[in-house]
Amino acid sequence: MDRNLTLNLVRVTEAAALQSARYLGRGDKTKADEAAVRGMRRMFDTLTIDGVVVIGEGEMDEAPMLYIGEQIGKAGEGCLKVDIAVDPLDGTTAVAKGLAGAISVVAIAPRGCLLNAPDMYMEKIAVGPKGVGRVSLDYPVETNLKNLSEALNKDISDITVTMLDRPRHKGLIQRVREAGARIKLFQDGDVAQAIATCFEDSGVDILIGIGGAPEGVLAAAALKCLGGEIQGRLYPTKEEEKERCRAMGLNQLDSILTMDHMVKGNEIIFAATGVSNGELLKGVVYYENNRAKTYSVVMRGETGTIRFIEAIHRLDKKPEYAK
Amino acid sequence: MDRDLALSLVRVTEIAALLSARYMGRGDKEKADQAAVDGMRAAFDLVNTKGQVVIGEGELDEAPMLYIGEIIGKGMDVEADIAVDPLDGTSLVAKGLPNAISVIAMAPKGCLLNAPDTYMKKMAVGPRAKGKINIEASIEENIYNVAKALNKEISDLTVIIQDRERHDELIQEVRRIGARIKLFGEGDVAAAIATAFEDTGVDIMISIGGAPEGVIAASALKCMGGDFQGKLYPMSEAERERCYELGWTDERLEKILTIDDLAKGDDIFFAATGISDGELLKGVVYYGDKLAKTHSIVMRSKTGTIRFVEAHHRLDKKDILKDILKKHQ
Repeated sequence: MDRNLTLNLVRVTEAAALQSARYLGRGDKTKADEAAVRGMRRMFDTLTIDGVVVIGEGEMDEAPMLYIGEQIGKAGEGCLKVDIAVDPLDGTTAVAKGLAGAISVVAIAPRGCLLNAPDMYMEKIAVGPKGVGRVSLDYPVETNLKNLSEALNKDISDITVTMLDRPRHKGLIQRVREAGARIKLFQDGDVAQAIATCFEDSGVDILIGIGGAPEGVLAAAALKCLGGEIQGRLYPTKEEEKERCRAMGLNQLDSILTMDHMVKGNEIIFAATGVSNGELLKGVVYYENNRAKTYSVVMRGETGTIRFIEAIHRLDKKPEYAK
Repeated sequence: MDRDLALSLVRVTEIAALLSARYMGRGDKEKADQAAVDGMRAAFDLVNTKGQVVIGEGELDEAPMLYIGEIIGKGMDVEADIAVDPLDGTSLVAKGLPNAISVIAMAPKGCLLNAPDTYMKKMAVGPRAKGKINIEASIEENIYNVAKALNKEISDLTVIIQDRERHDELIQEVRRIGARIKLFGEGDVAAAIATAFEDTGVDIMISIGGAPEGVIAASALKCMGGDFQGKLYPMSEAERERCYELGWTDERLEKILTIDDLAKGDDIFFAATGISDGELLKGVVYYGDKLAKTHSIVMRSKTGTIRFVEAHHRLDKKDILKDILKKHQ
């Protein structure tokens, strides 16, 4: 895929973050999300791609923009045909309450390469490069921790497991504690936590638990670029969700979705910008004289290059589509 | 010009830095420079804008690549002026000293001054002191005005000056006035840019250095909203001759070159990557498993966006690097 798309994807998440961060702590997660969607959508319109949203804000009747199936980009002659996965604001509650860990994310891959994951739960396990091939959703959590401890050359008591702070994880938390590992619970922002497993400095070694399936695909795009590994297994909780899976041709509901199932090939570009402060990316800071700073990461699967970008924006000099 | 140029230019300086940094401390400044040139030239073949080198490695007979007048980049027509310094601070790399960077600036055709390869008197400041410098006025007046603009005591102001004998009087004068001084050995462009960032602790650059580097520094300061003034300062008859050859008259040589004379208009791109650690950018670090990290800055004057880019590279996955790395093992 075109190298020039990398920085343009950062522009997309930067625009979403700059808009969304204005709602930090205002107690309105809908508005925070809408602002992110609007910022992202308008920047997307300037890209020379022929894109289709496969992971987005919901079905067409649920979302006015960035809904599943929406065509975005300039889509002219010779434009690259791509699949787009977005989460304009991963962590809506975090922004509404002014809490840490909210990011804006986007991933693109050639048409047909991103799994159109249904909007339901997914059981997940994610690790960084050193843990690749050592963990599985089919193993009990105790085995995964033991294997990871060997792979990282770390005592189990030094391993940090991250998982969503939800009642459904009560049993899992118990087992991890009994196995002797540390736990970091988070409220919101599943994608960011999966990515954190690939960076030693984040202090997070493995993500487990049940979160959103669409976020699983986004995390898979990032982890593929980073050389980490994520596995998923759809976790429908209602009969209609099971029905939806079957309608999509996903019959083997209990089989593991590997990274390659979720993201085919390595022609992937993934970008994320911090909205509120997190382990990996700092949040948006607004300065005097119409300035703002954003922190982003952008990665490209083909070359394995990872770029962290700290950008200082002049909000009054932005083109119309980025205001 | 196309906003996509921004990241393209970072790639160019990143590749130059990744290659040049291999020669750190090896005592061979020619090879360090050659590696930077090889990397920059090859990387530029992937840039989607065609341009002509106006500030480069020298005349055609002196430099096989990136010589003045060379046309590089992809595209139909020559749209841009290009100013490069693949390695600003050759002896810094040779000795493993800080502040070596790789830099490039681009602007629409006719916007970058084709400065002769001679000396230039320079003065540079960041955005808050814009409009407060005058290279024709006394050092005292300039320091006073900049201190005032920054709301700083003169004793808290830091002047950056190249450590050369020609600056002995200037250094005495600045000390008499009471400002602090930071001397630097090499790396003229990096020193000028440092004035635009508070955290570097550098407030004003007053120095006599290369004119080509002045054009590159002016381009950068334009993107950051800073200010720059220069005045050509041929130090020998030969240098004066070189100016005449390029059409400069004695009268024109006397004129102040403002930031707009050096880098015209508001459509300028600038990128730099650190080779060795510096005030603003960290140097290249090579890790195990064929990994390397670079630290760069890229700016675009039209939107005023400044991006710092920390990149983790897989040296074995970049075709362009693999080939040239063989030559510079």
